[in-house]
Amino acid sequence: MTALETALRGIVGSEHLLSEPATTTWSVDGRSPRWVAAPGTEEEVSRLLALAAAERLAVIPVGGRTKLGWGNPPRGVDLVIDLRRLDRLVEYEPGDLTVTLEAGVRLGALARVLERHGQFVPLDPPLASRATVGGVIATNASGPWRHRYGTVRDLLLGVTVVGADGTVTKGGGRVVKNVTGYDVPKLHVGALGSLGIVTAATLRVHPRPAAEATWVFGMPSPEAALEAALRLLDSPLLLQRLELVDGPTLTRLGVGCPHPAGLAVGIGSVPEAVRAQGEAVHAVCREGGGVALGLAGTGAAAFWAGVSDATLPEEPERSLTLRVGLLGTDLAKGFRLLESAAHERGLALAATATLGVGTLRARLAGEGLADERLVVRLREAVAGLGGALVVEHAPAALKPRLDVWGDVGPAFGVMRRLKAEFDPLGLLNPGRFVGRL
Amino acid sequence: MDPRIVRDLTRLLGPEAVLAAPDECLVYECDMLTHYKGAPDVVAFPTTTEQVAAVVRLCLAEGLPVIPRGSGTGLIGGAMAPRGGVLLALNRMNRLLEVDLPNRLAVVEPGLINLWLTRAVEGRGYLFAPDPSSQMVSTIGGNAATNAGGAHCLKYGITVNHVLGLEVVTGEGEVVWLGGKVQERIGYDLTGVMVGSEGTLGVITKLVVRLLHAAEAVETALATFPEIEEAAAAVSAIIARGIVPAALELMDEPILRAVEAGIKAGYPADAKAVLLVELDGPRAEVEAQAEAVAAICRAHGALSLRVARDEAERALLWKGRKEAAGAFGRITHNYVLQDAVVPRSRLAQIMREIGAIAARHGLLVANVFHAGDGNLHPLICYDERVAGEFERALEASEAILRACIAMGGTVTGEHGVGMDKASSLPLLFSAGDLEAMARVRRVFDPRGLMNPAKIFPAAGACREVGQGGGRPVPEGLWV
Ligand SMILES: Cc1cc2nc3c(=O)[nH]c(=O)nc-3n(C[C@H](O)[C@H](O)[C@H](O)COP(=O)(O)OP(=O)(O)OC[C@H]3O[C@@H](n4cnc5c(N)ncnc54)[C@H](O)[C@@H]3O)c2cc1C
Repeated sequence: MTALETALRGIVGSEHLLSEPATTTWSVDGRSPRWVAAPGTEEEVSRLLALAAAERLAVIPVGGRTKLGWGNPPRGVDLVIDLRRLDRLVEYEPGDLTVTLEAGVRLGALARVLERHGQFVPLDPPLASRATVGGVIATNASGPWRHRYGTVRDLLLGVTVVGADGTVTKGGGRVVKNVTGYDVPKLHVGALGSLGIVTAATLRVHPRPAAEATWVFGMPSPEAALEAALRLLDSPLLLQRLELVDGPTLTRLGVGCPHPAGLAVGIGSVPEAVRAQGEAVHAVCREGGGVALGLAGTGAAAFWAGVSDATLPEEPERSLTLRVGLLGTDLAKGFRLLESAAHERGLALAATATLGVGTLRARLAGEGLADERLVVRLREAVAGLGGALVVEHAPAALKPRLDVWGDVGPAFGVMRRLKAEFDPLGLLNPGRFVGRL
Repeated sequence: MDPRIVRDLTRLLGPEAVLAAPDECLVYECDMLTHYKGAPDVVAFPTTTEQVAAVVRLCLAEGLPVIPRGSGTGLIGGAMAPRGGVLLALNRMNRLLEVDLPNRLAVVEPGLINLWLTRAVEGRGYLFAPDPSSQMVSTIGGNAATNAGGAHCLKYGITVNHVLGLEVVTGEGEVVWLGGKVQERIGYDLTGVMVGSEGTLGVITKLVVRLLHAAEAVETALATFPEIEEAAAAVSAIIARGIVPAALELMDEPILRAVEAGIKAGYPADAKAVLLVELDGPRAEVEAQAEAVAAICRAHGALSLRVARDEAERALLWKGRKEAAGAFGRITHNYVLQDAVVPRSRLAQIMREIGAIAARHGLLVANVFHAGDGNLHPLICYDERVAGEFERALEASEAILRACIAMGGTVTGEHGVGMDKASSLPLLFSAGDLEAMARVRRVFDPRGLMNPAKIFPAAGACREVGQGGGRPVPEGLWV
């Protein structure tokens, strides 16, 4: 055993350290780490990072490992830090509508605690129940709830962060209004753990509406679905979720949909308001050529979880998954771009879109994904609409030939300086973030 | 000021866009927290991003501070020049550039007055949600720079939740877009960091902001209580019940008296607190929640409960709240305004604590505030003509701040830091926490020339707290 390994064991305890070859199941983009350490406290995280800095170890923090495929392949994978043991609820006072918790808490576990008080944290990224709070902050991953509640960016009030040199700092606070200095928590949202490791966070929670309902409509085309959605948006209706889902995907989710596209609408309010708004939603969708479809017996919660997960790479070596950001009004065009790309290459397309936000998620599945031209061409077309395309997953052979993020434009200079300030040695998730920072 | 620099600025912007006479610059020596003073050497009125960038680059070359300024309604010692330099008055960059209702967004220049944006879109059923009480005069650029809150941010969030993108001239003189119309972003959330940075990272030259569709129904009710603690407890109970009103505003007895003396709002004589509740949303939801709120108020001993029947009555109920700070000018000579926050379950407790602090300092402290978020605005009254009172008021203000922080609260809820609270940051943040902020500063403004001496308790900053601060705000303005 090397001195370094002894030191790592000294920090987390032997039972919480894996070394090669036991680390193969922890590989990141095909590279297995030299060690996997599972610290149980913020202090252990701090000591691990201080040691990593001294030894120049490339560090990959991980949570529920539901989105570990995001980002470019790392330049190095020495030490994986598994944060799931940091799973304590630090403080929850329902009357404050805030909760403070450690980063390894899974959203599913959190939901069960809040549920008892009629509250929830409206985060429904793919594989939500397994995803950890820290992972959701690092990826800023979202799902249909984003329509009404925003992303974790809009919920995050404060963070505790262990910096690249092991220093523990706090940003933000525990109250819902706070403008004391820079909004440091925002730095870590969507930063893929490239500026520090978030070990704890305070989130805003929301009261769960007394009643909720979900309706699904088969629509004659994605354009018609978008048109109906824009009418719903241009009204005082208060929707919780508003998703475009392609027809075959709906059918797979158990909502038999003979139409090319579907519109899924969720409303949460008091029962009377759910009913009244539901009627208005039906009227708009019917006028747009829509047909109400029956929700599967599994119920709304399973349906929406299915929508969140609809574009996951089920067969990793035969799947390319994309997140496309567009203006909401361009979503049908974005859908058509994907559709014709899929058609040309004989790929199967699954797509969902959060219509009020402008996020389109897609999976292209089949053979012939090995060359990068597909992504390059789609990216150009999306850029032509003023949008951006991120590759969330690509087969192993393709991924190294892509920049999964694409060009971030002139602000990259600022981002590079930010990374250099916070992680001067470039040890945190090296190479994975934009511009291979 | 070197006349050569004035000449250079004049060449860049034109003669009608540069003020250099000391008496003219004096107008810009403070924001609405008038006891922090510092006049700029020059005031420049750019009309384009290129001009802003050119001025910033000139200042970088000359080592001169750059101070962005909107309407100067800040309450923090923010848009003023304790180290001199060039003040960039952004008021001529006030165009509404684009309204895109299908995508529910607008593109604006920073000098556009907040309320003008809502005025421009309300006919079509939309609004710009951030509504600081200064919304009829403050600029959207200033709102973003301070991450302003407002009465309705309880439900709709603060400014940062409504900014999609910013065009910025950084402290390096670069022009960059952070974020934009497309919401899905790639890379660091620099928009989120720029919002609330109080001009210390760069100058905001354009903003893409969200527009919201107006609610179907609005209901405004006013309840009076025999004790402030009861009213505060009612607020906590409403929130705990899962009701998130659009606004939940509280006023205590000294404020009531002032308002009553002014506008004859007709509050019951034995009322010691007034709670203003505004619910909005789908009609059926508003109706159901209004009943629940009424029941909670009654359970907490409400003396009266009045519901506005129409827009005119609604305006009347709000009038008392909106004119509170102004009306208050009638019963005190000066006051110090605090802006602190407690977790909302602690409202009743902090009210008792503030009462005790007031008694201990022998001063009148009045409260009018955004109760739903736990955001307090105690007004600590004093008379500048009485020796020592101002100092005592500052002490009481500090004591209240510390009490809030001890309950898990924070240093400033919506007004910001500026010069005023720079020295209070260590109450909340360690040296390491502040170093993380300093790193951000270095990234955007390595020379430290953007609005210097604000936010960070910089060494050598002259804290000019003169006698006689905190004048009552003019009537018609409210906090
Ligand atoms: C009566 C009254 C009521 C108020 N009520 C509220 C309230 O309810 N909620 C609230 O949050 N605040 C409130 N305020 C405080 C103030 O109105 C807000 O902070 C407002 O956002 C400031 O806008 P402004 O245009 O006046 O900015 P200024 O005061 O001119 O500037 C404020 C700060 O922002 C910087 N800045 C301004 N423009 C730019 C720009 N384009 N780029 C970069 N930096 C810039 C300045 O350097 C300064 O540090 C109130 C003030 C008054 C007087």
